[in-house]
Amino acid sequence: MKAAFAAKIKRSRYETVYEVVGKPPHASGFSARGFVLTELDDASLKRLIRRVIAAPAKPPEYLIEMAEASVAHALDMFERFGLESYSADAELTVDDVYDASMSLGVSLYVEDDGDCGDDGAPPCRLVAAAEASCYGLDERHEAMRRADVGNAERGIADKAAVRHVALAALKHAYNACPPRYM
Amino acid sequence: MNWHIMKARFVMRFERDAGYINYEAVGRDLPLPYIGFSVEGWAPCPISLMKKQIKSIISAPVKLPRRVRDVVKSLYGHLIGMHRELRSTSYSIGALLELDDESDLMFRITLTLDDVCNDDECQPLRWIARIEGVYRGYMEYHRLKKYVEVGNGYSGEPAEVKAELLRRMMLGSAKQIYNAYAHRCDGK
Repeated sequence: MKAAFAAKIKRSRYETVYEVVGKPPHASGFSARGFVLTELDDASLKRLIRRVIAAPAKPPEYLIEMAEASVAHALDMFERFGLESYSADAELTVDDVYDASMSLGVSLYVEDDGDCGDDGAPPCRLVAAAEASCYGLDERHEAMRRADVGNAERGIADKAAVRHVALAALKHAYNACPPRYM
Repeated sequence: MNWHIMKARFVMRFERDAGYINYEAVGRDLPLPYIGFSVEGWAPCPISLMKKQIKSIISAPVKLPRRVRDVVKSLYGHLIGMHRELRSTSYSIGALLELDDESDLMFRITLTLDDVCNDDECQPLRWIARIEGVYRGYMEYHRLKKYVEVGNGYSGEPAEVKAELLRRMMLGSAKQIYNAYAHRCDGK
């Protein structure tokens, strides 16, 4: 694995748990974790983790549509009403036979460090965070992305940056699942 | 600590805690749409004032300000759109807005397909809306929770969300939690 990420793996009799974080933690705004209940040898597990990080496969159109709709609404709510925070989570069934689902949560919020926005202090920042998961009968994978996307005082987020956060999280999680389910 | 039975088929209880009153009011044996309604919170007020405030939350007498109403309507529009266009099995949406320098209002709704069982002998599929509204002020906190069936289907038939019922529940709940602010006991 390239130097930017560290993966932790824990095996027990019933499950294999993995966790991937940027080095130092959250430096990249990306982390992922998951578990599989079926036996997975070292090579397969490594392949899975690499897929989650690199995310080579594109999710199907209806999942992208879900992400785009959530992002568009979040941006609209911030611009029209100047909210303090907004979040939306959607879950869709992707495979009835294996009972597999994908979910995506998109949040946009003002990050208040306690001082920001005060006289002489820097303005509060707008942060976008997305968490996507893919889960089936015997496995679950989650991927998180987060990025600073604007200045809260202006109340305007960088649309491309918010969209990137949501679609990237979706793609990481989707790549943990195929080709087993989709 | 005693439960006080109110007229509107709600029971309330109060507890004193270091200058604050903690309270909880729960709907009992109520028909739809009040099934699963409760409100809880705390504030540094006398019990008599607190009772008035709780009654105002339950009966929701004031109008919602335009901004709050528009936020809730936009949440509803997006929620029903996602449900109809994407056929999501679960959707949750929430927003936090500032009412003034010391007060926030949080509103969240989760729409879930209750699919525990859909066989012939079991209950039909149901769409359940869980609504949560929180008013957080400088020295007080109120949380409303509502659990409502907003659509059902019979075995073999898809359950449909009753959009108008959902819209009314969302606006009604927003009005109820806004009343915690409009009738806040510090009187500001």
